[in-house]
Amino acid sequence: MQLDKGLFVEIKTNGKELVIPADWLSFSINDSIHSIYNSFDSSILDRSGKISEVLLTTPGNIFSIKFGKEYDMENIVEGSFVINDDKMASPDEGSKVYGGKVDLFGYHEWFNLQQESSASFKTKASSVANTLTNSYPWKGKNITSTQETKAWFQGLRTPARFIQEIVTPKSFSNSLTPFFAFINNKNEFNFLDYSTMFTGSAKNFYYSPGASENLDPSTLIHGISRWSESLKKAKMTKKKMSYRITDSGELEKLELNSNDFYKKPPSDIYLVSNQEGRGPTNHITTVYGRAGESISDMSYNEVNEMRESFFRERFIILLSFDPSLVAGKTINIYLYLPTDTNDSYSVRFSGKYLVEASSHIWSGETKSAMTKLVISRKYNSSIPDDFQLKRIFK
Amino acid sequence: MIPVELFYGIVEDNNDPLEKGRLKIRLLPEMEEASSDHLPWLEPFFGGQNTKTTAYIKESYDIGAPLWCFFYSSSFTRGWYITGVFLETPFNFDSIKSDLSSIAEDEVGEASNISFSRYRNGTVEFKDNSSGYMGVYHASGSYAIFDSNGGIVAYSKSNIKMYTDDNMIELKDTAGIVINSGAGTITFNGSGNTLVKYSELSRILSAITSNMDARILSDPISGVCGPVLPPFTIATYAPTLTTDKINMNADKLETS
Repeated sequence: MQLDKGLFVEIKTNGKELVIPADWLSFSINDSIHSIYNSFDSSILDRSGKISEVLLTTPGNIFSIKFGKEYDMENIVEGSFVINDDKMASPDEGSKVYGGKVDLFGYHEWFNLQQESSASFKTKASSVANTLTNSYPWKGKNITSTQETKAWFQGLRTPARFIQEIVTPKSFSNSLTPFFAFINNKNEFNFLDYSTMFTGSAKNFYYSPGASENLDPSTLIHGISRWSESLKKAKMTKKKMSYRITDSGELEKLELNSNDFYKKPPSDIYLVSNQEGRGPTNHITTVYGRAGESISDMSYNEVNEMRESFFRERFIILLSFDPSLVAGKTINIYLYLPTDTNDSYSVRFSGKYLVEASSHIWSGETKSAMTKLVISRKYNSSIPDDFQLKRIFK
Repeated sequence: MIPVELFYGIVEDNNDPLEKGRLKIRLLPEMEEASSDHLPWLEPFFGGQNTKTTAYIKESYDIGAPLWCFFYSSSFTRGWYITGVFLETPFNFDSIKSDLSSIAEDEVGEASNISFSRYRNGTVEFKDNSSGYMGVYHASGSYAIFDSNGGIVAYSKSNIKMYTDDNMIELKDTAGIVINSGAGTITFNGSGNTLVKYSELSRILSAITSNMDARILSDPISGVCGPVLPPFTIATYAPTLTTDKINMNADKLETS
């Protein structure tokens, strides 16, 4: 069904297309690199009550959605979602029937196909993620290979929980960055490390109210808001690490600097903790392992300790509808900053950011489509090395 | 503090290739469908070293035995087995009490006071925390115990063998020693009833022999022996009585 100015949406439920006036429908499709499922949030004006009456809004129904631009069929927001919740407020005044605005919320259809298992694997983490997602007809899969082969126990979990709770936190890349498992708004399954995502090609966007007439409207940032994670999460004091010698049981101690996460002890079993049991990035730092075990047992803690530090500096930005921008992509932003001599852009805040989360929105009330992004980075690369921020988060 | 998670498992393999007392464990239900090759070898939580040197303890567990285990996390990267799982039906104190009552050296106390280990073949190690009665009851019926008075009792359905190299086995008492057997009884119960040495016995028997000869030679018909009949040859008696001390033995020796 055509929405406005070359935009279209196709919603099928139980194989039949839902055709209603564009202003009766509002929805957003949302993804995030931190959540394995993307989601569908909608509001349908069921004025007569007939849509509900024929069970189209019943939890468990599958809504298959395609949302895009008619002239760019390569980049379409799409996916199938299982309705999880439905809610209907009081009917409009004057209405003779029980009808009105129905709010629906659904997860990606893969949620509905989960089954617990106690299987085991002896392979790379990336192979585990690939194997467990093979049975679903994704539009695509983006998986970065991990290095270590080790035993993995699903432990009576669903594949999604196993990937999210066990495989992902224990994976790291050659470039020593953590992994993220998520379904994006293009119906692609992703098992990617931060470095792979951040080094991807980036589109340019401008927040430039003073010079907007010179820019392509599709590259403009319409709304922007910035915040940063507090340094309260950073442990500013030194930490202690203890490790145990297998032969004698003796405990040896090391003192770590505030910007050390883990150090490989000289030998044998090691324990790391600090006074609060939490590290600089709010992850529990007490770990246990053997120096002689595989490298991943040593390194995943070190890498994943720093997971949150990659998202210290964040913006929310509002753009014209752009279905090519989904979680895991990158963008360059340029923030207008006039000087005495010429128009220029802020060095402090401009730069490359990762799309942490995206929402692709159709508003029936305003008959407009937009894309809202949460973008983030660790910090501005031009910060000198002796600044405390950089010393802590490296 | 190290947070841990508790799991139930069974022994998949007890033949540790490193011979360190580890067990290969299949957690249930978490590893029910896991390949046996992937299962983890867990170290014992109890036992191990109680010094920094060479004193250690190891329990044995059969394949299939249910165990409690714990891991640092449910990713199962590192864990230990703690102990066997209590199974109500096979646990039978009455059978323990019945076995121990056959010892008849002491009374088995209340279940609350008895600690015991029962082996797969029926042998029982036990101790009564109240009376101090303790020992081992073998499935064959043999036993070795300390009774509640501190007495030591050993009973064997088979042999009791005692060996010593270049030392002696000493039985030492103040009241007496009794040796009972089907062939008779020997009692040593005081300094006036000491066991006769072989040399002493030989001396006594020689003295008896000499005495008997002397008595014969001193008889009025000394030198003549037997009836005098034609052709009237008179034989002269020469003492020939000797004592076969080498082949002498006593069916029964009682010194009291």
